[in-house]
Amino acid sequence: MAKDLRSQIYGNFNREETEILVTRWETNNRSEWSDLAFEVLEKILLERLNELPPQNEAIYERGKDTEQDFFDKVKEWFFKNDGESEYHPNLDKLSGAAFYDPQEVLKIYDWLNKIAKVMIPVSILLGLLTFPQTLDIMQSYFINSYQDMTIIIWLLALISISVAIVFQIAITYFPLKALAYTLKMLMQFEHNSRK
Amino acid sequence: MPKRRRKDSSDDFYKTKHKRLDTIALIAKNLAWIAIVLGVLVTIGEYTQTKYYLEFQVQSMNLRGAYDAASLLKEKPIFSLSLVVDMFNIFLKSVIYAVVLKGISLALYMLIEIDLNYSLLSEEEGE
Repeated sequence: MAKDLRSQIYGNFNREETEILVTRWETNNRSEWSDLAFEVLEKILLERLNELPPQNEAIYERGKDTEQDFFDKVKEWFFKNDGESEYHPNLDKLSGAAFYDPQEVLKIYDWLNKIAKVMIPVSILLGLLTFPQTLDIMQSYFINSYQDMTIIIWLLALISISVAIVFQIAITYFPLKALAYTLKMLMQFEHNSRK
Repeated sequence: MPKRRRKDSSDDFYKTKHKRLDTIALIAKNLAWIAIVLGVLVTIGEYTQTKYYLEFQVQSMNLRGAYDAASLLKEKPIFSLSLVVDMFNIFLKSVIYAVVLKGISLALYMLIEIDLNYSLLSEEEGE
Protein backbone atom coordinates (compact mmCIF):
# COMPACT_ATOMS: atom_id res chain seq x y z
CA MET A 1 0.00 0.00 0.00
CA ALA A 2 2.78 2.38 1.08
CA LYS A 3 4.73 1.27 -1.98
CA ASP A 4 1.76 2.13 -4.20
CA LEU A 5 1.42 5.50 -2.53
CA ARG A 6 5.15 6.13 -2.86
CA SER A 7 5.10 5.30 -6.56
CA GLN A 8 2.01 7.46 -7.04
CA ILE A 9 3.68 10.43 -5.33
CA TYR A 10 6.84 9.71 -7.30
CA GLY A 11 4.88 9.75 -10.55
CA ASN A 12 3.12 13.01 -9.66
CA PHE A 13 6.29 14.79 -8.51
CA ASN A 14 8.32 13.49 -11.40
CA ARG A 15 6.03 15.25 -13.85
CA GLU A 16 6.77 18.63 -12.25
CA GLU A 17 9.63 20.94 -13.13
CA THR A 18 12.81 20.84 -11.05
CA GLU A 19 12.43 24.50 -10.06
CA ILE A 20 9.03 23.83 -8.45
CA LEU A 21 10.36 20.78 -6.65
CA VAL A 22 13.37 22.72 -5.33
CA THR A 23 11.06 25.48 -3.99
CA ARG A 24 8.94 22.82 -2.30
CA TRP A 25 12.04 21.23 -0.80
CA GLU A 26 13.39 24.57 0.43
CA THR A 27 10.06 25.70 1.93
CA ASN A 28 9.95 22.40 3.87
CA ASN A 29 6.29 22.74 4.77
CA ARG A 30 5.52 19.53 6.64
CA SER A 31 1.95 20.61 7.37
CA GLU A 32 1.26 20.64 3.65
CA TRP A 33 3.33 17.61 2.57
CA SER A 34 3.83 14.34 4.40
CA ASP A 35 7.19 12.84 5.41
CA LEU A 36 6.75 10.25 2.69
CA ALA A 37 6.31 13.04 0.13
CA PHE A 38 9.56 14.60 1.31
CA GLU A 39 11.34 11.25 1.07
CA VAL A 40 10.20 10.91 -2.54
CA LEU A 41 11.09 14.54 -3.20
CA GLU A 42 14.60 13.93 -1.85
CA LYS A 43 15.02 10.93 -4.14
CA ILE A 44 13.89 12.84 -7.25
CA LEU A 45 16.07 15.85 -6.48
CA LEU A 46 19.09 13.62 -5.97
CA GLU A 47 18.37 11.92 -9.29
CA ARG A 48 18.06 15.23 -11.09
CA LEU A 49 20.63 17.43 -9.33
CA ASN A 50 22.97 14.85 -7.78
CA GLU A 51 22.88 16.95 -4.60
CA LEU A 52 20.24 18.32 -2.28
CA PRO A 53 19.58 22.05 -2.05
CA PRO A 54 19.57 23.61 1.47
CA GLN A 55 16.31 23.38 3.35
CA ASN A 56 14.53 25.86 5.64
CA GLU A 57 13.43 24.88 9.09
CA ALA A 58 10.44 22.57 8.91
CA ILE A 59 6.96 24.10 9.25
CA TYR A 60 4.69 21.78 11.21
CA GLU A 61 1.73 24.03 11.98
CA ARG A 62 -0.50 26.04 9.77
CA GLY A 63 0.48 29.51 10.87
CA LYS A 64 -1.13 32.84 10.16
CA ASP A 65 0.90 33.10 6.99
CA THR A 66 -0.73 29.99 5.59
CA GLU A 67 -4.18 31.30 6.53
CA GLN A 68 -3.30 34.59 4.92
CA ASP A 69 -2.19 32.69 1.83
CA PHE A 70 -5.51 30.89 1.76
CA PHE A 71 -7.53 34.10 1.98
CA ASP A 72 -5.26 35.76 -0.56
CA LYS A 73 -5.77 32.81 -2.87
CA VAL A 74 -9.56 32.95 -2.43
CA LYS A 75 -9.52 36.72 -2.99
CA GLU A 76 -7.36 36.34 -6.06
CA TRP A 77 -9.56 33.54 -7.42
CA PHE A 78 -12.66 35.63 -6.83
CA PHE A 79 -11.52 38.94 -8.21
CA LYS A 80 -8.88 38.09 -10.74
CA ASN A 81 -9.65 38.66 -14.34
CA ASP A 82 -9.81 35.12 -15.60
CA GLY A 83 -6.81 35.69 -17.76
CA GLU A 84 -6.26 35.45 -21.45
CA SER A 85 -9.16 37.83 -21.95
CA GLU A 86 -6.78 40.15 -23.71
CA TYR A 87 -7.70 40.41 -27.31
CA HIS A 88 -5.27 38.48 -29.44
CA PRO A 89 -3.40 40.97 -31.67
CA ASN A 90 -4.03 38.85 -34.76
CA LEU A 91 -7.74 38.88 -34.14
CA ASP A 92 -8.43 42.52 -34.78
CA LYS A 93 -11.59 43.64 -36.45
CA LEU A 94 -10.05 44.02 -39.89
CA SER A 95 -9.02 40.41 -40.15
CA GLY A 96 -11.81 39.30 -37.88
CA ALA A 97 -15.02 37.42 -38.36
CA ALA A 98 -18.06 38.49 -40.34
CA PHE A 99 -20.69 36.97 -38.08
CA TYR A 100 -19.49 37.87 -34.61
CA ASP A 101 -17.32 40.30 -32.74
CA PRO A 102 -14.45 38.51 -30.95
CA GLN A 103 -14.37 41.27 -28.34
CA GLU A 104 -17.97 40.44 -27.52
CA VAL A 105 -17.03 36.78 -27.07
CA LEU A 106 -14.31 37.74 -24.60
CA LYS A 107 -16.74 40.01 -22.77
CA ILE A 108 -19.30 37.19 -22.45
CA TYR A 109 -16.48 34.84 -21.39
CA ASP A 110 -15.59 37.24 -18.56
CA TRP A 111 -19.23 37.65 -17.57
CA LEU A 112 -19.81 33.90 -17.46
CA ASN A 113 -16.78 33.44 -15.21
CA LYS A 114 -17.85 36.25 -12.90
CA ILE A 115 -21.46 35.06 -12.64
CA ALA A 116 -20.25 31.51 -11.95
CA LYS A 117 -18.29 32.85 -8.99
CA VAL A 118 -21.10 35.11 -7.72
CA MET A 119 -23.47 32.13 -7.77
CA ILE A 120 -21.41 30.36 -5.09
CA PRO A 121 -22.08 32.76 -2.15
CA VAL A 122 -25.64 33.35 -3.40
CA SER A 123 -26.35 29.60 -3.45
CA ILE A 124 -24.87 29.21 0.04
CA LEU A 125 -26.95 32.10 1.38
CA LEU A 126 -30.14 30.83 -0.26
CA GLY A 127 -29.49 27.34 1.07
CA LEU A 128 -28.91 28.59 4.60
CA LEU A 129 -32.08 30.67 4.49
CA THR A 130 -34.11 27.55 3.77
CA PHE A 131 -32.74 25.91 6.91
CA PRO A 132 -35.90 26.51 9.05
CA GLN A 133 -38.12 24.85 6.40
CA THR A 134 -35.68 21.92 6.09
CA LEU A 135 -35.69 21.54 9.86
CA ASP A 136 -39.52 21.45 9.83
CA ILE A 137 -39.44 18.76 7.13
CA MET A 138 -36.97 16.68 9.14
CA GLN A 139 -39.09 17.07 12.27
CA SER A 140 -42.11 15.85 10.35
CA TYR A 141 -40.28 12.55 9.70
CA PHE A 142 -39.92 12.02 13.44
CA ILE A 143 -43.24 13.50 14.47
CA ASN A 144 -43.79 11.08 17.37
CA SER A 145 -40.36 11.37 18.91
CA TYR A 146 -38.80 14.59 17.67
CA GLN A 147 -38.13 15.90 21.18
CA ASP A 148 -35.82 12.95 21.90
CA MET A 149 -34.05 13.20 18.57
CA THR A 150 -33.31 16.91 18.34
CA ILE A 151 -29.61 16.43 17.62
CA ILE A 152 -30.22 13.82 14.93
CA ILE A 153 -32.87 16.02 13.31
CA TRP A 154 -30.52 19.02 13.30
CA LEU A 155 -27.73 16.88 11.91
CA LEU A 156 -29.95 15.50 9.15
CA ALA A 157 -31.16 19.00 8.30
CA LEU A 158 -27.58 20.28 8.15
CA ILE A 159 -26.49 17.39 5.93
CA SER A 160 -29.41 17.82 3.54
CA ILE A 161 -28.85 21.59 3.35
CA SER A 162 -25.14 21.05 2.64
CA VAL A 163 -25.89 18.51 -0.09
CA ALA A 164 -28.51 20.83 -1.60
CA ILE A 165 -26.05 23.74 -1.58
CA VAL A 166 -23.32 21.66 -3.21
CA PHE A 167 -25.72 20.50 -5.95
CA GLN A 168 -27.03 24.03 -6.45
CA ILE A 169 -23.48 25.31 -6.89
CA ALA A 170 -22.54 22.43 -9.18
CA ILE A 171 -25.51 22.81 -11.51
CA THR A 172 -24.84 26.50 -12.01
CA TYR A 173 -21.05 26.82 -11.69
CA PHE A 174 -19.94 24.04 -14.02
CA PRO A 175 -22.32 24.71 -16.96
CA LEU A 176 -21.43 28.41 -16.87
CA LYS A 177 -17.71 27.63 -16.79
CA ALA A 178 -18.17 25.04 -19.54
CA LEU A 179 -19.99 27.53 -21.75
CA ALA A 180 -17.27 30.12 -21.13
CA TYR A 181 -14.49 27.75 -22.19
CA THR A 182 -16.55 26.41 -25.11
CA LEU A 183 -16.94 29.95 -26.44
CA LYS A 184 -13.24 30.58 -26.17
CA MET A 185 -12.36 27.28 -27.82
CA LEU A 186 -14.83 27.93 -30.63
CA MET A 187 -13.26 31.33 -31.23
CA GLN A 188 -9.82 29.74 -31.39
CA PHE A 189 -11.20 27.02 -33.64
CA GLU A 190 -12.76 29.62 -35.92
CA HIS A 191 -9.49 31.52 -36.07
CA ASN A 192 -7.61 28.34 -36.96
CA SER A 193 -10.12 27.50 -39.67
CA ARG A 194 -9.17 30.62 -41.59
CA LYS A 195 -6.75 30.25 -44.40
CA MET B 1 -4.96 37.75 -44.40
CA PRO B 2 -8.02 35.53 -44.78
CA LYS B 3 -10.60 36.24 -47.43
CA ARG B 4 -13.73 37.73 -45.92
CA ARG B 5 -16.85 35.71 -45.88
CA ARG B 6 -19.82 36.47 -48.06
CA LYS B 7 -22.52 36.85 -45.47
CA ASP B 8 -25.03 38.57 -47.69
CA SER B 9 -24.63 36.45 -50.75
CA SER B 10 -27.53 34.18 -51.56
CA ASP B 11 -25.61 31.60 -53.56
CA ASP B 12 -24.79 28.02 -52.58
CA PHE B 13 -22.04 29.24 -50.31
CA TYR B 14 -24.41 30.63 -47.70
CA LYS B 15 -26.77 27.69 -47.47
CA THR B 16 -30.18 27.14 -45.88
CA LYS B 17 -28.56 25.47 -42.88
CA HIS B 18 -26.57 28.63 -42.24
CA LYS B 19 -29.68 30.78 -42.58
CA ARG B 20 -31.51 28.61 -40.07
CA LEU B 21 -28.67 28.73 -37.61
CA ASP B 22 -28.39 32.48 -38.18
CA THR B 23 -32.10 32.87 -37.35
CA ILE B 24 -31.77 30.80 -34.16
CA ALA B 25 -28.72 32.83 -33.13
CA LEU B 26 -30.63 36.06 -33.78
CA ILE B 27 -33.58 34.83 -31.71
CA ALA B 28 -31.26 33.85 -28.83
CA LYS B 29 -29.57 37.25 -29.02
CA ASN B 30 -32.90 39.09 -28.80
CA LEU B 31 -34.22 36.78 -26.09
CA ALA B 32 -31.20 37.77 -24.00
CA TRP B 33 -32.48 41.36 -23.86
CA ILE B 34 -36.02 40.17 -23.14
CA ALA B 35 -34.65 38.07 -20.24
CA ILE B 36 -33.01 41.17 -18.74
CA VAL B 37 -36.16 43.29 -19.11
CA LEU B 38 -38.34 40.51 -17.63
CA GLY B 39 -35.83 40.06 -14.81
CA VAL B 40 -36.05 43.74 -13.89
CA LEU B 41 -39.86 43.66 -14.08
CA VAL B 42 -40.14 40.52 -11.94
CA THR B 43 -37.69 41.97 -9.38
CA ILE B 44 -39.80 45.13 -9.15
CA GLY B 45 -42.91 42.92 -8.92
CA GLU B 46 -41.34 40.96 -6.06
CA TYR B 47 -40.58 44.23 -4.25
CA THR B 48 -44.14 45.51 -4.73
CA GLN B 49 -45.64 42.21 -3.62
CA THR B 50 -43.46 42.21 -0.50
CA LYS B 51 -44.43 45.80 0.23
CA TYR B 52 -48.14 44.94 0.09
CA TYR B 53 -47.56 41.84 2.19
CA LEU B 54 -45.76 43.91 4.81
CA GLU B 55 -48.47 46.55 4.82
CA PHE B 56 -51.07 43.82 5.30
CA GLN B 57 -49.06 42.32 8.16
CA VAL B 58 -48.68 45.74 9.79
CA GLN B 59 -52.42 46.41 9.48
CA SER B 60 -53.34 43.06 10.99
CA MET B 61 -50.89 43.50 13.91
CA ASN B 62 -51.40 47.20 14.47
CA LEU B 63 -53.98 47.11 17.18
CA ARG B 64 -52.43 49.97 19.10
CA GLY B 65 -50.34 51.59 16.40
CA ALA B 66 -47.20 49.92 17.72
CA TYR B 67 -45.96 48.51 14.40
CA ASP B 68 -44.79 49.88 11.11
CA ALA B 69 -43.09 48.09 8.23
CA ALA B 70 -39.60 49.13 9.33
CA SER B 71 -40.02 47.86 12.89
CA LEU B 72 -41.49 44.63 11.56
CA LEU B 73 -38.43 44.13 9.35
CA LYS B 74 -36.12 44.93 12.29
CA GLU B 75 -37.90 42.35 14.39
CA LYS B 76 -37.39 39.67 11.76
CA PRO B 77 -33.85 40.06 10.38
CA ILE B 78 -33.81 36.61 8.76
CA PHE B 79 -37.05 37.43 6.96
CA SER B 80 -35.62 40.79 5.81
CA LEU B 81 -32.44 39.14 4.61
CA SER B 82 -34.37 36.47 2.72
CA LEU B 83 -36.38 39.21 0.97
CA VAL B 84 -33.23 40.95 -0.20
CA VAL B 85 -31.57 37.68 -1.25
CA ASP B 86 -34.74 36.55 -3.08
CA MET B 87 -34.89 39.79 -5.06
CA PHE B 88 -31.18 39.63 -5.86
CA ASN B 89 -31.54 35.98 -6.87
CA ILE B 90 -34.38 36.77 -9.27
CA PHE B 91 -32.34 39.51 -10.90
CA LEU B 92 -29.21 37.34 -10.99
CA LYS B 93 -31.16 34.54 -12.67
CA SER B 94 -32.30 36.91 -15.40
CA VAL B 95 -28.69 38.04 -15.88
CA ILE B 96 -27.62 34.39 -16.12
CA TYR B 97 -30.33 33.67 -18.71
CA ALA B 98 -29.28 36.74 -20.68
CA VAL B 99 -25.57 35.94 -20.65
CA VAL B 100 -26.14 32.26 -21.46
CA LEU B 101 -28.47 33.15 -24.35
CA LYS B 102 -25.96 35.68 -25.64
CA GLY B 103 -23.23 33.05 -25.32
CA ILE B 104 -25.31 30.50 -27.24
CA SER B 105 -26.00 33.09 -29.92
CA LEU B 106 -22.28 33.85 -30.29
CA ALA B 107 -21.44 30.14 -30.32
CA LEU B 108 -23.89 29.58 -33.18
CA TYR B 109 -22.48 32.51 -35.14
CA MET B 110 -18.99 31.10 -34.65
CA LEU B 111 -20.15 27.69 -35.89
CA ILE B 112 -21.52 29.30 -39.04
CA GLU B 113 -18.26 31.14 -39.49
CA ILE B 114 -16.22 27.95 -39.02
CA ASP B 115 -18.36 26.05 -41.51
CA LEU B 116 -18.07 28.85 -44.06
CA ASN B 117 -14.31 29.03 -43.55
CA TYR B 118 -13.97 25.34 -44.30
CA SER B 119 -16.29 25.62 -47.31
CA LEU B 120 -14.14 28.47 -48.58
CA LEU B 121 -10.98 26.45 -48.07
CA SER B 122 -12.35 23.38 -49.85
CA GLU B 123 -13.60 25.57 -52.72
CA GLU B 124 -10.17 27.12 -53.12
CA GLU B 125 -8.48 23.73 -52.96
CA GLY B 126 -10.86 22.51 -55.70
CA GLU B 127 -9.89 25.42 -57.96
